[in-house]
Amino acid sequence: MLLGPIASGTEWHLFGSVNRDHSDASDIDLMILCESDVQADMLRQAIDPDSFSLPLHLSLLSFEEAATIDATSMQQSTVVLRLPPGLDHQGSPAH
Amino acid sequence: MGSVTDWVAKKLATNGQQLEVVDRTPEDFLVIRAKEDYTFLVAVLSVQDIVQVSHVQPLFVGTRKPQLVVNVPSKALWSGAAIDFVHSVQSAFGTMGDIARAAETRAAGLFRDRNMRFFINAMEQHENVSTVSYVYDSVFRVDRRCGSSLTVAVIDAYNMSAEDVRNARTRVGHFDIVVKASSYGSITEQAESAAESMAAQALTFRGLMQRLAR
Repeated sequence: MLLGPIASGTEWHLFGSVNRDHSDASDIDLMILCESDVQADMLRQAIDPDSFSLPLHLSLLSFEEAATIDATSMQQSTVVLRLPPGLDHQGSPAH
Repeated sequence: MGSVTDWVAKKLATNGQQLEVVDRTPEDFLVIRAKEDYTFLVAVLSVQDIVQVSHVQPLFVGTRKPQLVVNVPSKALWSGAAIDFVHSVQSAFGTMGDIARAAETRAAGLFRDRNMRFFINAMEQHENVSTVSYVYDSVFRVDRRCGSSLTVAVIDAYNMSAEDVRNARTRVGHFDIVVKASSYGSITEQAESAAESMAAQALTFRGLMQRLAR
């Protein structure tokens, strides 16, 4: 799965049974924190849930939203990927 | 390049969920063997947008009928009419991930999504609700005894975000209420605002029950 610049600046978290390393996990709970609504919408379109080995439950939140509900603590998630900011989500260099 | 049925068979062989594809019928149904030798038939569709009755009816014309019909991609919707048809012939519908869940029931034709079954039962038992019908697999028309009918979209989310609400609108079109399936977690302020901007409401299960009364 190649997402390219649309994923720049995002933070990927696993939670649920896969994050707890259960050998009998039946699905993958993935939360991606995004820099903007546009980026969240683009990632929803770009990520193919059928490309994963197990059924995917995908949550996309802005960093601001996640902070207001303390989503990472609430879901006891683990960061598995942190992508550096790069191009903005329209394809121009970020300022 | 193999068919989508080949693709599902290959995925089942590699995902370690103790399911085995033991045969393929002349209709191209997969014969799945689960734990304790429970065996059932799965038909695989590859409808890209909305599964309609016309897609599923041909699967049931022969003597062998599938207990479960799955569609790839899982993002595709199932129309209410297609769901009603599948249920009327004692079969079940779902995504590839539902094959393992259906196997666990040991009566795959009776498999129903746990979250949707919960919401349907709860709405049907509400004193102000007369009927609940599928619009899509996670969207329901709720006819009320007092008050107008409501379209309710259920989101499989622990925390409901603004993106969940926007994605629901993009996928299913109009709804009056978007409700999160989990009774835990939160609805963000941004999700509530996104719903309001669509003249809809983002609610928890409890909020939905209260809204159905008004």
